[in-house]
Amino acid sequence: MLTYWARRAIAFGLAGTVLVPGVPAYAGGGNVPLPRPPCTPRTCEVGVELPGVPGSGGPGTGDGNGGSSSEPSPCTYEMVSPTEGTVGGVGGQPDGPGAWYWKVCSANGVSTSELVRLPSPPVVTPEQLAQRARERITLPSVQVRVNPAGTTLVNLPTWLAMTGGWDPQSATASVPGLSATVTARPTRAVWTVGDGSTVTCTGPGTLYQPGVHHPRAESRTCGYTYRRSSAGMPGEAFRVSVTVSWQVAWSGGGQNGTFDGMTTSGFTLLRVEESQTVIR
Amino acid sequence: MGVRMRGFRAVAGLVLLGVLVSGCADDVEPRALPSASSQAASPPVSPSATTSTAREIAERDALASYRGLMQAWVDAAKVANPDHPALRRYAQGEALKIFVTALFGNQLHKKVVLGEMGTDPKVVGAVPIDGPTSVKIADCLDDTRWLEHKKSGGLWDNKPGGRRHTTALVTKTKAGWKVTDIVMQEYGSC
Repeated sequence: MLTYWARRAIAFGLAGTVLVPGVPAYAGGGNVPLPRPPCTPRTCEVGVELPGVPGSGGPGTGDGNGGSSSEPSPCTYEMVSPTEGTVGGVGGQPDGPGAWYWKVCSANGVSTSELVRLPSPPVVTPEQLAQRARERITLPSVQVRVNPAGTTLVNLPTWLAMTGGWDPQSATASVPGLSATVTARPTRAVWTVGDGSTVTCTGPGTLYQPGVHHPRAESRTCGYTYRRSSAGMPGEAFRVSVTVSWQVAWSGGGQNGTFDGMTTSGFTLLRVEESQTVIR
Repeated sequence: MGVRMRGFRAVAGLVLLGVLVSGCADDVEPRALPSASSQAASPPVSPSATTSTAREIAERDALASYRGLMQAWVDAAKVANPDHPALRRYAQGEALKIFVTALFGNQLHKKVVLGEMGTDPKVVGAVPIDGPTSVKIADCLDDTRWLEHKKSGGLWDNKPGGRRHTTALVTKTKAGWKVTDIVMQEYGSC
């Protein structure tokens, strides 16, 4: 036989109450939830969600959207492994595939926590968040600066350098409670000098400065000396191109890793003439 | 969606607890939950000595379960153990979920609660009158001397704690009296 309480509860569609920290004493006026003062993390950690708080899980809040929306998710999910006893204590494990998550939602300075079972990670893992940050990274374009520029001579050291293409780039993406930073660092520049050779350098090269560097000196960081002229090439010039490889690393949520590398490139045309024709 | 429903449940739950206290029958209008002081009056005494005894026993046992749960909570929080057996002895349903969730969070964050929690529970309602199976208890939980610590040592934060008006529903089950619902209000509410 049902008690009076139970009958009333069923009439209300209720199985019981939930602990709602910060709920003021009910002051009449029907079932309208009253405005609630912010609860402290201490009270909010008692496993509840605050009703009526925008973004704490209602429709259209972007809850668990996994990052496809531009709206940041108000909740973070950490995959956890509760014991069988704990699972029983929170109502048991539903049938079907899934995993347990510690769900923390923040909105308007209010944080709530809950242990939830979800069929799949609905959410932003640190790596996914980092992937979002990676998409925001724009690598600087490469401006090739070779010296001598335009025309050089066989056997004369050519300085290979670039400007603006060697600055590390980083971007951060965040949702409440979690952020991930991606940093792209240039690691090497592979120059294809046009005569079939390649030169690999570990920096942007040194810009040749007249009056500072000797005209016949080799670049200490990145250079090449042509042994044949570019005669017969299209435009009588070699196409000098450089490809910069970037290592992309991420960190966030106590984890870190790397993504596939990125590259940038640039080129210039360089005419290489036989030096003896000039010397003569 | 779920949040709003839970909110409704929470507020309606307070109404129901109010109904329980008042002892009124059906078509009770939603009304203000009486303050702790006004609830503190003893429930009406039944004229029958036997029912009075049944009521006294029910209130005594319900109160003992509530106290047992509070002690279990303190013991479990000391070591951040959501699987503390005594929790299951004294709580079930939504109330158990609340404590297990809180303790799981503490376990996850390596947080323990040390010291003494102040509790002073009183029965403020029981139905049915002549053989209660549901007992409502009001308390003023005081955690000013029951503070969160890092498991590795030292206070978790500089929050001072405080006093919270707390209402619990204790239900007679086949396995004895168990706290089935508990609502804690904000700090400074008692």
